[in-house]
Amino acid sequence: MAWERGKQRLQKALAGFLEMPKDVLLDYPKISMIGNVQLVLENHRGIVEYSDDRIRIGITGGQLEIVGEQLVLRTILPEELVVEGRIRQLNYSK
Amino acid sequence: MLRRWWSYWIGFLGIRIEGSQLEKFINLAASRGIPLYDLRREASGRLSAKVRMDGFRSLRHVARKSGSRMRIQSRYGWPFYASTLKRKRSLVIGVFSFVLTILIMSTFVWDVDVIGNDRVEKQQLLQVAREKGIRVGSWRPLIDVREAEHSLMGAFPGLEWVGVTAKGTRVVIEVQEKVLPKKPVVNGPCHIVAAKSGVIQRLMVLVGEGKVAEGERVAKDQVVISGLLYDHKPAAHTQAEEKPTPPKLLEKVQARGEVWAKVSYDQWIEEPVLLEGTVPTGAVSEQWRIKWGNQEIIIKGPRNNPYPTGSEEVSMRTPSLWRNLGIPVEIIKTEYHELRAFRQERTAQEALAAAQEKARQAVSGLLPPGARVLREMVLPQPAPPERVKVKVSVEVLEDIAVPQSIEAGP
Repeated sequence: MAWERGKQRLQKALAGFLEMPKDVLLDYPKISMIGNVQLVLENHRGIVEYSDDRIRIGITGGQLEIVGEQLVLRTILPEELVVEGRIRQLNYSK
Repeated sequence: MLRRWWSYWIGFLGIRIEGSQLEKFINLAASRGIPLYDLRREASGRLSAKVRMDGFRSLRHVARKSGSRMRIQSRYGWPFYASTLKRKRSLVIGVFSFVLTILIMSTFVWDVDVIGNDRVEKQQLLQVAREKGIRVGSWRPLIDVREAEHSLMGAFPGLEWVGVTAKGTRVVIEVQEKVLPKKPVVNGPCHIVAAKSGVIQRLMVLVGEGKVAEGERVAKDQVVISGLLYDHKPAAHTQAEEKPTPPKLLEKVQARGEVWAKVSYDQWIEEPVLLEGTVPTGAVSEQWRIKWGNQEIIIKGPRNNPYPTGSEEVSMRTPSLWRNLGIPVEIIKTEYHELRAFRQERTAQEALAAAQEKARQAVSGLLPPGARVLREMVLPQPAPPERVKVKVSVEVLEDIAVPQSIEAGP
């Protein structure tokens, strides 16, 4: 456990030092949105809850909740997923 | 985009999944690398998705693991479409035969056209081309274009160049005719006469007998080199009292030679000192009309000339429908140019210079090629007030030889 924390701290420090994008080093998800109609999420950890007005997706260090209307999982691949629909909110939770 | 196209060829299925652990189903599918598309929650709590054909079998396994039931809803893509086409065999045959017909038809020649012939008959050209296999209905690959060009060149000596181009279903025979020399060649015996009156500077007799000496003045149409050769040897004196016999005509020849003479051209030009006229201001308005039979409709532009002083240019166009099928409609474009009056106050000197320039222009229009200007004289003439008058005489050295048939001559 302590090892893990030390490793994470080292990684963070390295990422800041080398000015590298954090998603490469730290396994963070990369979210790109087009307006509020499309959301591309790279590096996800599986779907926790799925309905047409709320999608919860597991990500590194927590969950991402997408709230909206008529949400559709356009594509889901092992590494990325595309959500379309009218997105109202994005919430991060532990 | 590419992925969509690819999945169309592989084929994909629309499925409906029922179960209590739909998230688990999705996660399992994703982790196994089975891409699911267009996942949708339906009102009944079911899930609809699309999956590629190659991922469907492993999806069964996923469904069993997550305790959900799958039903195939619809099928998309090429493999399914192909199977329906198998049932509609005649449609496929029809499509293919249509395409094939178009392809085959486009390998034939449907149109042969001749461009650029002026003196050579089009029908004759087409006849020769026909012998070489260029005719309506012949098969394109069999046509040897170069061969046809050569045979056309051989058949018509009056052609300078022939180009045969096959473009689609159309063969165009393009022809350049030889430009023959402009001098009228007189066949048979002829004299050389003067085209203009002048003073002979140099006489070069190639064939015939020179009738004038250098430095002599000749009038227009005077025989300079004669084509009649006489025997000038004095006949043997038989009797002293006898009249001298007229010299005997030996032969008639085609006289040839060059006659370089000094010809003078006189031009009288009168110019007003005060120049008045109109120049275009540059303002232009266009009017477009359509003429159909004897009705005219103005489509665009003013009804008539909008400028107080103006000139108009009319150009007509007849739109062609296709190749040489016309429609009986003319499009008439009228351009109105605005003009504005101007006055230019000139001194007499400037007017003289302008007049001289005009005279020079007029003379140079009269000169034959190869002429050389020897001298220019400008003589101001008495003129009415407010005008200038000038006489410009130009002396030119030029060839004034013109053949004239002996029968036609006096």
